[in-house]
Amino acid sequence: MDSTVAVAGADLAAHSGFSLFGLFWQAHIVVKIVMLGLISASVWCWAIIIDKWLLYRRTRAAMNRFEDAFWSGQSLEDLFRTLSGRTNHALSAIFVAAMTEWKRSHEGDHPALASLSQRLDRVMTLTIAREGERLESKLAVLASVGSAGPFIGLFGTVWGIMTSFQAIAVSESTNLAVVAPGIAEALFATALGLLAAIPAVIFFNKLSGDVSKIISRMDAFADEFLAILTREIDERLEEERY
Amino acid sequence: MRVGLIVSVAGHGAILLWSVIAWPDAESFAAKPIEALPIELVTIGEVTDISMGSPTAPVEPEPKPEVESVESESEAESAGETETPADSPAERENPSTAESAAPLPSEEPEAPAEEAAEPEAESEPEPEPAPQEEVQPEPEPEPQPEPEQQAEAEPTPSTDVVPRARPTPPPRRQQPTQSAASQSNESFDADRISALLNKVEPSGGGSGASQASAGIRSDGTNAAMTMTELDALRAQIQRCWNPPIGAQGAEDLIVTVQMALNQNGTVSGSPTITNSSSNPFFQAAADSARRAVLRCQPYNLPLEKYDTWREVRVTFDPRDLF
Repeated sequence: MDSTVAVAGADLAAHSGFSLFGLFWQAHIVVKIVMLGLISASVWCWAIIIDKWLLYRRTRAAMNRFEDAFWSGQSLEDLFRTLSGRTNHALSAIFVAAMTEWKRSHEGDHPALASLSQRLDRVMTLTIAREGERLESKLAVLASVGSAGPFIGLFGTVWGIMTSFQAIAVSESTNLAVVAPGIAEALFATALGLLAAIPAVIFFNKLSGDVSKIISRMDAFADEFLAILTREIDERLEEERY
Repeated sequence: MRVGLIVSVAGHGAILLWSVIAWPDAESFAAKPIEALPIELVTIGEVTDISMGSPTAPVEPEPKPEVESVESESEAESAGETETPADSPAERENPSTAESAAPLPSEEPEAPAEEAAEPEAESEPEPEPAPQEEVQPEPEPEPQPEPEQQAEAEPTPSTDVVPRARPTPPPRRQQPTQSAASQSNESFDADRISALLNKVEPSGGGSGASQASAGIRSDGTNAAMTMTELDALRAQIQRCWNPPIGAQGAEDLIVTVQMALNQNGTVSGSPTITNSSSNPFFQAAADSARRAVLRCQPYNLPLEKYDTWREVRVTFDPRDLF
């Protein structure tokens, strides 16, 4: 009796195999859903990681190029003219927003210079916030997957182990051959959860560090640019007084 | 975003493909059916005495049935024989006399009366006064009527030969039946019993020996520490114990000491007193017990049972001394 059950269990194990697909196909439907969810989460996480990595690289290159152009001694009017025609990001966006506000303040006969520096500051802060939001978008997904992935995998594991204990109850045998397949497929769910979560956590830390560096660089540029503009505003106010 | 998604999907697909190719099916393990292990529950006793049985140990046959068959053969003496299996040595002494006695009936016709009489006189002096030389010529009225008649008819010693031979056998047959005298029984049965006994080497015969040999061989692999070893430890400690005998209520000063022992029998750490008492002398008794434990180390205990005496609790009871 006992031996026949053991042999049947061994046959079952040998039949379905312990390959990845074998582990997947013989799993319970809940465990299958968990596995599919974790695999899609992993795909999505890696898509975000690649996308953000490319985006930050592009952003840093553009910032470098803009700073080179900005500090090259060329007239800010010319720079604005070249940049205003296209969509801008990061430093150029801040520059364009500030210059747009500057131009709008000088329209008409009496330039509104009194609170221009405050307005410029607001505009640049707003732009930085918008740029930061754009850079940080979807990083929350990485954080969520990184923290919840192991739990989701663990849920699949617990469910699979529940199933294998039910198998023990049904077959009335605690033979390893009866228990092992269920536990193997259950542990596969945890493995997938960790597989999705570990890169998500690592790259979330790295990418959020990159974002904060880019934002602080934008802040620095905004402060510098504001200093230049306010100096210009003060000079013009001085001119108007006399 | 599209680039990232495409790259991610492609990467996952590649990893999945690689893992399917690189990881063939795990080797299927054949679960061997577990053989049933017969387990016998041993009754719990005060003293652990488990000896491991070995299937290769020789099974010794029981000698008893042979003895019983001897008993059954000698129907006449069955009443007297019940005890004889035990005193087999008594029977084994006899063969010398029994052999000399056995040929008697056949030889008697030719043998002179004196020769035939002599062995009898040695073995059975009491019941046969007839064969004696002085008496032979004279008629013997008491023991047997037949020999008397023959003796009367031929009083001369020369003619003794024939008549003398006949009378002797009857008394021998009669005597065992008449008197349940053990000596005559022995002499009569000796050849048969010894013949049977000689085929089977007499073993100790005790019931204990036959029980012990029923396929059991003692290997000395008793797992648990038996009481005697604990007692030995206690005795070792007690040698060094100097209890406060003069104290008031000293017989109530029971001290329980718990100690940890090292493998070489020394006490590791300091022994702790696990009980307490309101007796003012208890502290002194506890100190004396602790001193005794420390003074008598190292203790001589079997190393293979270290697990059982690693943690020992010893009770010092002054009543044992009184």
